[in-house]
Amino acid sequence: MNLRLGMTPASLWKRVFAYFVDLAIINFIVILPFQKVMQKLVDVEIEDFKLFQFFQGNLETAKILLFVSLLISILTVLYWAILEYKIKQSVGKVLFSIYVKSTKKEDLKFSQCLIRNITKISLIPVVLDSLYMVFTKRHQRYFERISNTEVVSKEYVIK
Amino acid sequence: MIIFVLILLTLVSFSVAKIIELNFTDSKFPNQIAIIPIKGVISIEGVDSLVIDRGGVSSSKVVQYLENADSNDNIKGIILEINSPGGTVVASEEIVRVVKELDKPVVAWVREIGTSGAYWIASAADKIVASPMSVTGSIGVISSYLEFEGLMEKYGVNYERLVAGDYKDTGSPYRSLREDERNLLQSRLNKIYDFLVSDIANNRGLEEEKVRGLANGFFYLGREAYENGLIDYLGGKEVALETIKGLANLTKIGVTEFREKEKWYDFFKRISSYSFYYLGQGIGSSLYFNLRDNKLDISFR
Repeated sequence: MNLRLGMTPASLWKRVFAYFVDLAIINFIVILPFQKVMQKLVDVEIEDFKLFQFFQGNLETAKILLFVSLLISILTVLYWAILEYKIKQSVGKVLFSIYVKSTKKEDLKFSQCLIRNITKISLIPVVLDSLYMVFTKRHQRYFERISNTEVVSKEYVIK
Repeated sequence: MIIFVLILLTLVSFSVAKIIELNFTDSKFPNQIAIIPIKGVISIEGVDSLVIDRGGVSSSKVVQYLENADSNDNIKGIILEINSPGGTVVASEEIVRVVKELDKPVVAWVREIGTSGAYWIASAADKIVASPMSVTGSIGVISSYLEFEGLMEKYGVNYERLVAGDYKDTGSPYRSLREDERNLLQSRLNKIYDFLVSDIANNRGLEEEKVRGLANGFFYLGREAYENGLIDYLGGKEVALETIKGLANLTKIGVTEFREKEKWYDFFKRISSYSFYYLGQGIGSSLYFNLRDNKLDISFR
């Protein structure tokens, strides 16, 4: 029996846990630096679900907060895009030994890494994108299919 | 590579956050006006019950909002949004005292109703704005109650009076007031009334005699109150905002409304309150229809 090192689609649980690890890191390096400025911008008590009314009365604040949110989203996407382009892994993926690879017979491009991670700007897009995984054999998100990438783990397979 | 990317992202995040903090907060930020609601009957604790939801306001909560607004450097003025028939003397006085002690300009904006204790609170503000059809005034004190001595007598129910201290049960609904008791209670009410009139006159910069003449307990429409000096401007929210901008010397403002944070169980409290209300309404309707159809005889003989 010959065994060889092959690439198989990474299991869902590994991908989910890797994602949470990455989220924790992003919270620390991207979101935490902006916490003080967010508190200064919105330093009065606002009741739950009354944010819209607050913004209606404070358009300047709304613009600045929108800009800050956009910045956080861009830095979040860049975290994954740069690491996956350079070393085919993010920190979470390193911990669970899973990798990003191109489904085409070519090296992973930066544009592919950007496109596959674009839905990570916010929670709802990434959840919707991830639901697609349930219906694919290779556990690909929708934007992974569009970007021709997939997440694999290296395992020994029987030749 | 990982460490490099993490450090780079962290540095970029901190740098951009600092630039935004220095350039777009504090002095560049529009000044805030706090709108603090005073809605419903005013009492110390407010109304918080599974059975009854009368929509009252707690003076403790209003005082807390006022103190929060006063200590917040970004808040440059306060609008009291008043829609209240008044309330207890002590609860109203607590709010009046804090409003007077505020370092920031205050405008009272009376909406549908701002009478009695609520008007007293409004008078403590720097300016009062009300709609021409608002109901305000009703400056006076009330302590009336139902007395059942006659009714109990008709049904052979006796009130056994056991007291140590002759005035201990003064005001009991089970017996009528003696003349000396009536005079005592009335004198207390008069003292509260005199204090109220004097304080309102002082707050509004009016002659006490003039206020005493207006303080007959009756209400005034906004237009009438404007004509007799009880309020300053006729109008609504826009007028209140323009007034506070003038008092605070601001051209551009942001508005922050202070609201009670609804807790997760407040939804169930509302449902419970409505259920008890409709239960009572149902029982009442049932009694009415039975009475009408002569199935139930309720009479006083």
